[in-house]
Amino acid sequence: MEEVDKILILTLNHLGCDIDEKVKSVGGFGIEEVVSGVVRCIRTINSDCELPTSLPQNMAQRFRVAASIAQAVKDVGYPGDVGYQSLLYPNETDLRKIFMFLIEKLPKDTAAVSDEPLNKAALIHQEARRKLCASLTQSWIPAHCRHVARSYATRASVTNHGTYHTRQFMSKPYSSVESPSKVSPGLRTYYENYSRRITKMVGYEYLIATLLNSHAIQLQRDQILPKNTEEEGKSEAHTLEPLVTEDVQLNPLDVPLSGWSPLSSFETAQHMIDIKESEREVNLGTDVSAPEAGVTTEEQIRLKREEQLSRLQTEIGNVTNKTEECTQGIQDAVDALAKLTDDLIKEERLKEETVTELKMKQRTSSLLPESAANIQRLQGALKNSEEKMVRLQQQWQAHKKPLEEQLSQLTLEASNKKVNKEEILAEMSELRDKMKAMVQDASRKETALAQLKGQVEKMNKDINRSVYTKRIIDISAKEAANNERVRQVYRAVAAVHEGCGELVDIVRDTGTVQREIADLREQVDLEKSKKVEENLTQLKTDLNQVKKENASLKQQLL
Amino acid sequence: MLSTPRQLLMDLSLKISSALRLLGDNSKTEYATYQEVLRKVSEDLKKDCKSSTLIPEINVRDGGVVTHCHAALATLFIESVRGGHNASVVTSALEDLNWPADRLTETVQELESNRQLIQSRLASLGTYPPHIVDVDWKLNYRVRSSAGEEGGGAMYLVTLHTQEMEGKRGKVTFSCSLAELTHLVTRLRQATRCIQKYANNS
Repeated sequence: MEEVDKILILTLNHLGCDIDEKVKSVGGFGIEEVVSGVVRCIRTINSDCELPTSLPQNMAQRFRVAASIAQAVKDVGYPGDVGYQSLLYPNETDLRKIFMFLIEKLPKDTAAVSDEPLNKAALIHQEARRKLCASLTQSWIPAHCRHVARSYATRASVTNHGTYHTRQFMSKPYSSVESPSKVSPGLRTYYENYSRRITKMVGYEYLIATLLNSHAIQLQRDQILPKNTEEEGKSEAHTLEPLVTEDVQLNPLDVPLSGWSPLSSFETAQHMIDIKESEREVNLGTDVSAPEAGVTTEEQIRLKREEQLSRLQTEIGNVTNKTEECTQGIQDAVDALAKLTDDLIKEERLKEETVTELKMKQRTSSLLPESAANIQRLQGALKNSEEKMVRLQQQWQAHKKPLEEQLSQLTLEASNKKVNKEEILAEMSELRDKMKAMVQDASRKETALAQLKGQVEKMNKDINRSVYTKRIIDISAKEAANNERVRQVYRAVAAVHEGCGELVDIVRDTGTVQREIADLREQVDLEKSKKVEENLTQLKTDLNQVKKENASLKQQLL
Repeated sequence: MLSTPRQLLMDLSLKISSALRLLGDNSKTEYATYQEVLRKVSEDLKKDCKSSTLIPEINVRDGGVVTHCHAALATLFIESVRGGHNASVVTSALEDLNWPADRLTETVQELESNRQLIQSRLASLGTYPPHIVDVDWKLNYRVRSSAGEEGGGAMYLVTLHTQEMEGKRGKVTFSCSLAELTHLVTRLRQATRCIQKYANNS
């Protein structure tokens, strides 16, 4: 019984009861300890419970509260008899039963040990708990100091620094710049000279949202059109070009409204500068003409501006036309040049051929006068060269053989090496895959390790060791059932166990008699421990007090 | 401490991948150009949105490589922080794009040094409920109404001052009886207890 009481007291202290160290058993509990212990147990089991942990002074209220606590104990599912008397006039055995039942009912946080440590939902919950814990322990910062604190903090948090620094997820339309090597030449000159970074186009505050958005769109597009992207890119470029030229030539004033494409934003900037300059000109003009004309109306300025605009438009048109003409001219000239160069090369080749023919003919003509001697000489030379030819051929054969052998050997080696190389490459890629898998595995295990460490840290506080030993025994029994050899051993042990069992039975029979004697003694002790007389006197004094209170209340009423 | 759940592969679009491939190619992109891109990316991500204005910049004739790769590298940084990819995942992704070792380590170092900052900038993107920062209240006691009815009791006029996105100020005004106010306070207490229980129970 002492062991049980120790565990009970330890558990109750852990729940927040302040039980004196001198109290060694449940029998030593006073009413205060009993009530606070029971109420704390119930609170832990059922968090909605709103019972007080101590009793009020007034006798009648005291009884009422005790009755409601007893009801709560029944609601939890206590099978035995319990009422206000079990709390106000406690008896050791009943009290022990009640506490044992309640502590048995306490929620076990050890049950949270899951077989699947990497459950995603569990991980999210854990992360959420961690974040909540962190933000609950943060110190409070007055609202008007928050943005100052934020500018010194390494990382901003909404819970700590308020919403001053937050902004909506707003992105601006942005189409990413193509690789300069892939676009058409017209666009390329634009990219090379005038393209601006995305930050300059959308501004710092929209940078992250815009990049995330455009990347998501690209990913989506990649999924739908995994292979046609290049063609699609080309077609996009084709459709882009005419649009742009139209914009420039027809109504340049609409460009600022037409969107945020890289080209148009550039154009916008240029226009703004143009307009500003023209304004300045207008202003200068008015300044000069002011003394002569007197009052210059808004209308005039507007008219002038329009005039200037139309002038500029026609100028732009002219310049564009001129550029086109020039480009055409250059293209034509380049074509003509290429043609002429080709012609020149052909002519030169023809000339060389003619020169060699001429030389041949000159030599033949010089041989003609002494034909007989010359023919003999020629025949001799022919013979010589034939002999030489044979000799050379023999030499060539002699050279050729070893070289050919060497060649075939080298080819063989090369092919061997190639095969080796392929094998090594395959091995490498395999190893790389393995490596990736292992990294994956390792990180998963790391997470599991961290999780389990956290759990171990929390477990250390737990006192209910018997649950663990029981679990370990269960697990080992399960393990034993799984293993073939261990199963045989297990069977043998079971047989031994059975033999022993018979022996134990005999011993038990002798023990039964002794136990009966002990039981009887215990019953006598129990009857003594119920403190019937003491409780009766306590009840009498309480009754007297209630009567007194009632009498005083009556007195007040009268 | 628990690490956040992380993915082990990065998803990059074809456009971004090809731009990064170009940036990492020793033969096509010079080292100086690459450094310029890296510097601009970390500069742009570091800059506080509130203090900056758009300054027109002198155009550098770099063949459009900087502009082209800048967005791609910035996207890589942001996506890797958003997905919780650690340095090794980014390294293997860049290895797959044939990056040389020196550029790779430099880029990953830059990313790691900026990670916390990008994280907090990402965290500040989104819709957040307004925060209550102050409260004004007034107790009205109605003795008799204009129609001559007696009673009515105490009414509380409460104004909650809130702070919304980008430091905008807001107000929530309501009136309630004592019972309603008590009810509200009880519910708030319950909510607090709920949150504390959730946070401590694991």
